[in-house]
Amino acid sequence: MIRMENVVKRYNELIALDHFSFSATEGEIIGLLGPNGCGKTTAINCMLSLLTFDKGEIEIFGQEVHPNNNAVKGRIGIVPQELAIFEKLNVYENIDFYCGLYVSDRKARKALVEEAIDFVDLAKYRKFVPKKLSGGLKRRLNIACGIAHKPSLLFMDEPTVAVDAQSRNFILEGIRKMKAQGTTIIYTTHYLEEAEQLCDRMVIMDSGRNIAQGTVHELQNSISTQERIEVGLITDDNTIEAQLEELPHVVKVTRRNGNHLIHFEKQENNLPNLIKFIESRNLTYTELSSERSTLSDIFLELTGKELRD
Amino acid sequence: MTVFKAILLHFWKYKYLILIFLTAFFTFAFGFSQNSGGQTYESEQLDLKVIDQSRSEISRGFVDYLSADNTVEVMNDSTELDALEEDIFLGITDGIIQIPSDLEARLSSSSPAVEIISDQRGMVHLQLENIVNRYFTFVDAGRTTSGTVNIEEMNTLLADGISVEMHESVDVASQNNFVYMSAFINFAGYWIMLFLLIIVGNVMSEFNTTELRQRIDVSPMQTRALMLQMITAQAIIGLFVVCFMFFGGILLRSDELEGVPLGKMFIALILITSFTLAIHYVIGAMTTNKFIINGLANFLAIGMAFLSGIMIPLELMGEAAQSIAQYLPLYHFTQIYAEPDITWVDSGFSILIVVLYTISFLIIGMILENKRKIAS
Amino acid sequence: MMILRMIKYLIIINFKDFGYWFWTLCYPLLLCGLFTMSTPNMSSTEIEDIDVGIEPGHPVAEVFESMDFIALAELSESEAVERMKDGDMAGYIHGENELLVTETGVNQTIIESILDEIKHVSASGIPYQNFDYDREYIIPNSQDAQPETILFYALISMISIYGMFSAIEFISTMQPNLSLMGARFSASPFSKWKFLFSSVASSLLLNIFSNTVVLIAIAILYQMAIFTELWPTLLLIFTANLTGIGIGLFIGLIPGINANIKTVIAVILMIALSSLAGLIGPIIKAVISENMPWLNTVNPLARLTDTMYRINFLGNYNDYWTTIGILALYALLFFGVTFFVLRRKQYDSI
Repeated sequence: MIRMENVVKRYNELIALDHFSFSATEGEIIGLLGPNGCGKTTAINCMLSLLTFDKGEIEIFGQEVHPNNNAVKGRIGIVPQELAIFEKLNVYENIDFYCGLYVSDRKARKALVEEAIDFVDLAKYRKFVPKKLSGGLKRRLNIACGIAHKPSLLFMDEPTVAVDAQSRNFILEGIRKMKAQGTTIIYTTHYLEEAEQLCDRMVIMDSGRNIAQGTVHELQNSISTQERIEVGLITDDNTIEAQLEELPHVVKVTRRNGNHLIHFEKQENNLPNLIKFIESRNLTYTELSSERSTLSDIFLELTGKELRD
Repeated sequence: MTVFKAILLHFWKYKYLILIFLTAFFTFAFGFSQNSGGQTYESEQLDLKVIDQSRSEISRGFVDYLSADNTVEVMNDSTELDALEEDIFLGITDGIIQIPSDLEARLSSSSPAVEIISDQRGMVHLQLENIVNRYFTFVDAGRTTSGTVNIEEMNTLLADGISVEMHESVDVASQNNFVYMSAFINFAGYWIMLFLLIIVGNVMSEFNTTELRQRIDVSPMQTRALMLQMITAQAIIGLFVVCFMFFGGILLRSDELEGVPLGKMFIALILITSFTLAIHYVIGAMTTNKFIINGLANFLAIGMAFLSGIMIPLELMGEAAQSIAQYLPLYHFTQIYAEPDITWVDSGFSILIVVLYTISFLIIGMILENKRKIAS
Repeated sequence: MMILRMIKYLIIINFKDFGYWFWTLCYPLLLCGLFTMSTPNMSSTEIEDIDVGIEPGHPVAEVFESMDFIALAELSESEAVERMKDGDMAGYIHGENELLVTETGVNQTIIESILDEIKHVSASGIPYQNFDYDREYIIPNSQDAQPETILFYALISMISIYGMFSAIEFISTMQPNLSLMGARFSASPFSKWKFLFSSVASSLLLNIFSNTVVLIAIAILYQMAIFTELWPTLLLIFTANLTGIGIGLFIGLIPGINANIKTVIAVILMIALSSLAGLIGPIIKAVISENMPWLNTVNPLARLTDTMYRINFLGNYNDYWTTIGILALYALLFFGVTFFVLRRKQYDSI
């Protein structure tokens, strides 16, 4: 559905996109992740044909992206990070305005607007102007304006920034519903847990480059990081820590909340080996958990930077 | 001093706008300083346009005669009368005189000799009729007496007027200096009002936004210190603008300052600045909406300027406007330097009025400000 | 239909804006009220008697007394000076037909002129009876001077170009490099030209609406008959509306500054153009006509102001079509530039 191939975008000396490639298929939710200034928005703007780019190819719905390609534009929706709504128009009018940019038939539009209002649960506020809405409700309106025309491809740029927990859950649930209806969603966010929950695949960007992509699992497996297992053992043996360090592939053993935190080199048999060790010594354990790498760890591993830099 | 510095920094952001304001003011002031009056009594010259279709000795003599005391422009035949009439409509020209080609025949047959177009409602028209009639009366009288008339000699005779004496107590040069400078200060007063209301209004509206004020309110800064710093910063900007305009005016007219009550003018400018800041204080206590601030600023400044006789002399206005003017501070601002030799005692009343206005606006501002604090 | 809907929303957005109501309706009406209050006496300087003082028993008293526009009073010099300083007397005749004054003015010049004539008659050697003072040498025609009407026409000119504010707003909104909404428009299949057309149409409708209200108010509320030629004047105002919108689009295209600063630029431009067209008083108009007549030709507001009073007050249609042409030319020029600049669909940076 989207194919971006080796796209290069320069702002004078600054390279915003550096041979950036990525693709998405129908019905996928792709998380575009990376710290501020890594080129996420530039990539989206290039896909939307708002920006020129210096090199590379972009295809959407199998067609080359071009400012005059209205057939493609008509199937795309955008939910920008900042609110793009008219302060002087009420909820209904705002959605109708934006929907009207795509749908000319009055009856069809009316139905779509009503559906969008229900979708974001703003029916009670349809006559309210944005000034009278809370931050979360404004965000919902912003989303409704972007999705009312039922796009096949939706770009959502940090739609849950500065939103209360209730509204956030509501929004995330809505996104899942859209996916179920077959909408492809390109989703950028800073909230990693949100991305982990929601996205089918993730593209990690840094300095305009696509540095890794795949499902969370694939990403976790693709990088050579350590595995940590936390175990709470009931024993008086003072040498237990030294014994644990003797296990194969153990890098080090530290203490956390009275438990042992064992750092392994990444290996298939780390957990079975540990269990074998416990059983062989008849030890009793109160807690045993394996910690997998988080997106933050992955990002740190890949770039040496924190994701929220 | 942090608030003080921050406000001055905000003003610095508007430096180009301030520059445009001051440049525009001096362009106007310089333009008007070009046509200032002379040193002694001068007859009122009429601005006349003559279309001479006769081109006879008499008509040429007539033009010479008119030119002796008036500004006369001889137009060619193809000149459109419409354009000349428009000059009368606009008050640029006092009258148009058309001399027909059969001037001689008309004079001989006792028909009216020339056609004049002017605004018949004014004294200027009377003067125009007077001088035109005189020439032809003399031509006719000369012809009746000796059958012929020497136009050149007659013009020499007609050019020799009586001497008009200006009373010794009147210093015309000083009077002209005063007229120009008081117009300059009038205009400066209007400009300062507009300037301060717009610039200070916009700067302070940024400063008075609820979020910012709340942050200041929760800081350990005392309200009194805050007010003092805010007022000082605004006063410094006001003083800067006053000095710029006042000394700019002095520089512009450095040789022609005799008979100008400069001290009173300076005080007047300072007072109108204080008054404007007080108005702004009231507006600021009412709203932080820039649209309202700019709208009110514009309307208050232009409204007061019109009704106080700064744009158009008060005596030319309607009675309603004249009586309203008495109640406006900008009118009293002009009265502080109403006469070249006005004494401090005479200025005192107007000074007092402007000061009282300033104080009352400050009190209103404080009341509104307190209400706002309680409400928030 | 999409265009009509767009026009409807653009009008609603402006209509709900305080700025629109204040600047296009309240402000001109308030100014108009101000003008009406401050100008009624401006040009009705009726001929009043000139107060002249004369030395008791002076020989020319008889001549002055015979003139119906002179109010003669016999009094001493010191009394006369006092009255002159109070502005109650124009001049004092004494000695050898000498005139004493304390100020310069038309009234003093008229007295001077009469005294001149007395001197000339006696110096000419022509017998007094040969002077025929009853003969009419003049065919008088009147052209009223009404410079104050310039204020009203300049005001109407100013409001005719107010459409530029909404044009700035709209054009800034539609450019993706200037606004978020612009990015949304550009990414939608709604064409730029339809949006431009809708912007122009809604600016025009809004401004024509407010113009109509102001004109009706001037005619009814202030009882002013300044439109004797209604339809030709309306055509002028309509054309000027297009010029104003064109200027607004042009200003809106300036890159690198936000819509607020553009509005400030427009305000300064509008104040400058309308002041030069006569909004701050007729004197400025006279100064420009005298020294820089070209400025009146290039300033669209001066063109409009001049042509409006020419057709309505002077019945002069000479430059009517030229003015319409110049205003339309300005509009075309600015629309052309806008068209050219907006052809670009993509931006190097947003």
